Amino acid sequence: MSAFAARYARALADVVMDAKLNPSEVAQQLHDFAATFAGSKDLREVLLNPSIPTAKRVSILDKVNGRVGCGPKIRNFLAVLISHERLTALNEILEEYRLEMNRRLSISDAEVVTARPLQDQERAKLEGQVSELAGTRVNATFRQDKSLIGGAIVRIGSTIYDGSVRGRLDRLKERLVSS
Amino acid sequence: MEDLREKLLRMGGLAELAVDRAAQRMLLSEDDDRALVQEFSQSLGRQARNGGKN
Repeated sequence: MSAFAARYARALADVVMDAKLNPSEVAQQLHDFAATFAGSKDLREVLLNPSIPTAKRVSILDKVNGRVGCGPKIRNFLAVLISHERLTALNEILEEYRLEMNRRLSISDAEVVTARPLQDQERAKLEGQVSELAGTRVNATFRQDKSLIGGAIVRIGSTIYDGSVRGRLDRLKERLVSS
Repeated sequence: MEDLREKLLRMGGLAELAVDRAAQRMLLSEDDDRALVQEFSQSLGRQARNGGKN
């Protein structure tokens, strides 16, 4: 990660905290803008072109934002990225921002992998236990992997809790081979 | 002695193969999987109460 990405991320986090913006809403706005930006080659070619005057590019940002709906503070942040020619590192800055906000709000990232899609109730229960285990609020992402056969794997940071059938079989195999 | 080592290695290989084959054939019903996930979820809760230890 570049040092400048972390700097922009911290600046955005300061704005969000100082203005008491809703972090979830900000995350959604940034996600929506990033998706629009990634999905349009034309938009990227214009906004990333330093030979087009900054004011012109910011006016195009405003037109796009009419559809995306970023709040004024987030729109201003994106305008700064355009004027500093840093929009090219948008994804990197947004990932740094996500990590920075996780640190400030004491949120841990967790990944839950299961063989089948979980029902909402199962997700909520698992997320609750993971949060208790992490000792923080948790931002859990859920993924499906049929090769687990059954059960689940949870990753919190670099710690993995393996409660999958695949994991049990692997451990059984190791015991049989080493005995 | 060599024979015994080879035999043990072969047995280990066969055991590995048997587990792999069992895994390929294994099909879990949704109810069984739900029970497994619930059990795992509860074990995470127990670990949390024990300070992250099993």
